[in-house]
Amino acid sequence: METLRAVRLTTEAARRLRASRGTGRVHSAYARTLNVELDDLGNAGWVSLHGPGPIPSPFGIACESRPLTAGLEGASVGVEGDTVVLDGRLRIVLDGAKVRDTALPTLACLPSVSGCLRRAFAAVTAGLLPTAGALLAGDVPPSDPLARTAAPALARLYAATWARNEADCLAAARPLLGLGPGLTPAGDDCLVGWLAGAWTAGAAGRRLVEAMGPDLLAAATHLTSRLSTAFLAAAVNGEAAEPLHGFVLAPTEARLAGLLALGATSGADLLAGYLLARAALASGREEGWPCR
Amino acid sequence: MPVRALVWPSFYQDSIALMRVAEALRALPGVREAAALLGTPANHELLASAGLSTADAKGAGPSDLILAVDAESDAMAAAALEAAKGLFAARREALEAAVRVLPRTLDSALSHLPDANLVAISVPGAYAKFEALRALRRGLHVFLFSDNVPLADEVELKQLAVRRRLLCMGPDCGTAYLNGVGLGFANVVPRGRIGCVAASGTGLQAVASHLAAAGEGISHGIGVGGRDLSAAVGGAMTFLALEALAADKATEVIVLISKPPAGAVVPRLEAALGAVGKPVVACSPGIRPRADGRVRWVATLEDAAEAAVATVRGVRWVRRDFSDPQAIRARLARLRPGAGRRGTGVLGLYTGGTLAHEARLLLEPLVGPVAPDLTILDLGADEFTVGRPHPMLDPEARAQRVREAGGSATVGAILLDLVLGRAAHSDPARPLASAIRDARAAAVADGRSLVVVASVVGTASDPQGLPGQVAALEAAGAEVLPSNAQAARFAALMVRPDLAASLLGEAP
Repeated sequence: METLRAVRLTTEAARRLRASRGTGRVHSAYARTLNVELDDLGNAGWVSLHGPGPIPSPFGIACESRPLTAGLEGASVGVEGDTVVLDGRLRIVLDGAKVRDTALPTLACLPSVSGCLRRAFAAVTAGLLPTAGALLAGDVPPSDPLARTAAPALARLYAATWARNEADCLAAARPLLGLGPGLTPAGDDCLVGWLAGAWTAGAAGRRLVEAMGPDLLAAATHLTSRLSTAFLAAAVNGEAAEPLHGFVLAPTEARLAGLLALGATSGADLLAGYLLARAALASGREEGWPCR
Repeated sequence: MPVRALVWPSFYQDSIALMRVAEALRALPGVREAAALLGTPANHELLASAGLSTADAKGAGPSDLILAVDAESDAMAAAALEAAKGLFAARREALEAAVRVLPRTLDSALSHLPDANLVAISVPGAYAKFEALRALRRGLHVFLFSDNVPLADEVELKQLAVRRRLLCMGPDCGTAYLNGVGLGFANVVPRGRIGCVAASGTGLQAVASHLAAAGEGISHGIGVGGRDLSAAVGGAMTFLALEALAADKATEVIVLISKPPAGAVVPRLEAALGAVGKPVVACSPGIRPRADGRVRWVATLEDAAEAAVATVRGVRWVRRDFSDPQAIRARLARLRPGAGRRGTGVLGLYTGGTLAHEARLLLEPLVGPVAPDLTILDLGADEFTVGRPHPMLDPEARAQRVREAGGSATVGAILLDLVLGRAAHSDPARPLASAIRDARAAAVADGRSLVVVASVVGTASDPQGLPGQVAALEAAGAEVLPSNAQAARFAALMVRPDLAASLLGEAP
């Protein structure tokens, strides 16, 4: 059996492994990631294994090298103390791994929305960022089918967030669930970012997340994939992937670049939702878009 | 409108894989649109609004993958879906093969291949030092592809390498040729009698390709990293590489391609080059072209290759601004009449950092005063590659910039490079040619004249094939020159016709 050392893991991954009854299965395995579903924990039972570098999920474990994954789908998983064993073929040793706290703060500094968008626009042309960014900047959104579907929902989500109206937020979020390309569809990533933005914008935002979170997850169960629902569930509890967490704490240019490098467009979609929520909740109640 | 779809139940691929498969299908003949989406309710509506919905796909659930294709004929759509199956199967086979043979650690790799004497490392920069140290301590040479390696780590690694007489090529080493094996982004070039020591990637590729075109080959091409001649590193690997090539029997002439060396390093570098005992051609921005004993300093990559060829053949080398001035005059005559209004700006959109730097050095003194909007962008630099592949892998982002430049009244000439070779995009000229057509058409519609000037780094043996790539650019209306330096000079002539007197020896 091959052994791989974990070098870092999130607090949420550590908590889930402790809470598990020691069994699970490999849900999905692809080139960069291996997703494990621990038994009997529902949406809080997902743990993902990655190679070194920033941990791309709120419940992730970074290993010293990328775990080789072929043929492991459906394999049994055992958790024994500080060791995770996959199908008797691969042992992940957690002892000595650093624990990284990726719980979001309830109040974080407001990034420069227009500055972030300006830099992100230069690097990102796909996913929902161009649409959300155009709305925030007061520009005309793109006209491709994804943008045509998403633009009204994003505009409504901004307005509902600005009005602190959780029922309208939920109604606006529903069309975004499961929308767009990606293993975690772009609309879901955008909503994860929106949840993070609301969570970190102070009491009003937290109230929105707490009020609509359960209904949003109930809708996600029917409208998107189980993996996406797990990401949304983590976001409802204020947990973030490491690149998003780092950007929230310190929205520097380097951390913006790290966030945008996440996935195909996932990082950009997270940013779109995050900026949308932060801009709406920072704008007070005056009319119009905040960063024209 | 033939639309076909396939559904894979509970099929999980990461987002980048899905995006690449969709892109690959869109590039197939006759395919108008392709999408790879999970079967969520929202995506069913999205597919319907894009005209990609089919009865087959309607039953797909949120965990199922839908692959939908709109093509010019039913047969083309079916062929595209078959191709998708093949692409997914190839990924699966690659992963399974990796399980069979790919080791997870250096020790495991050495147990599979105990005679290996070189390790290629491309882990993220923060981790590169540890892997490189492991390799060096085991007596292995290192090809360090990783970028963002801290300078202090590079110094430590190279000090250890020098003590152990091992090569530590990099960091950020894009290309090397050792014993006829190309590492990283490498053109298919013959082995030969000219050895190279180069800072990083495209400079070495350009020189190797020029040598191949002239019928010469590379003995070894050793990358040393862009910071090797900085004051902190002190040229550690450059000096070791020069020693290695000096001792190598197959190497008759040495070419040095470097970034500007630190002032403190220059005297040691000049002394080391003089002590090599073989003829040396050195190309380093900021060092005046001159002959200094057996060392000849030149200004451009093309000059370096030509001077090396002349030296190894024992003939006199004469530097030229253009290899065929008569052909240039003919092109100027063709481009002059009825050309319409032309902007005075030059916009360089580069994928190769060394090539961009060379173009900037050539153009600034030529057009600077008249074209204050001279802009040379290295689109492979970190700030342009966040969230997307390097433009040598994915040409679309640059193609879009070319299109946008077609709408600018100030741009008179767009200057481009195109880098071929292993690991580069399989057909980079195609999207670029399409963008060139669009840009030139936009300019014409606005009553302007826009000239697109390009050079191609590559050989006929490269997977993409040099002649076909050049032909594709020329068919789109690009002026393709034999080298980056000639392309830069030609671009200068497009906005400063009066330069013809000095560059071509004729009246404007």
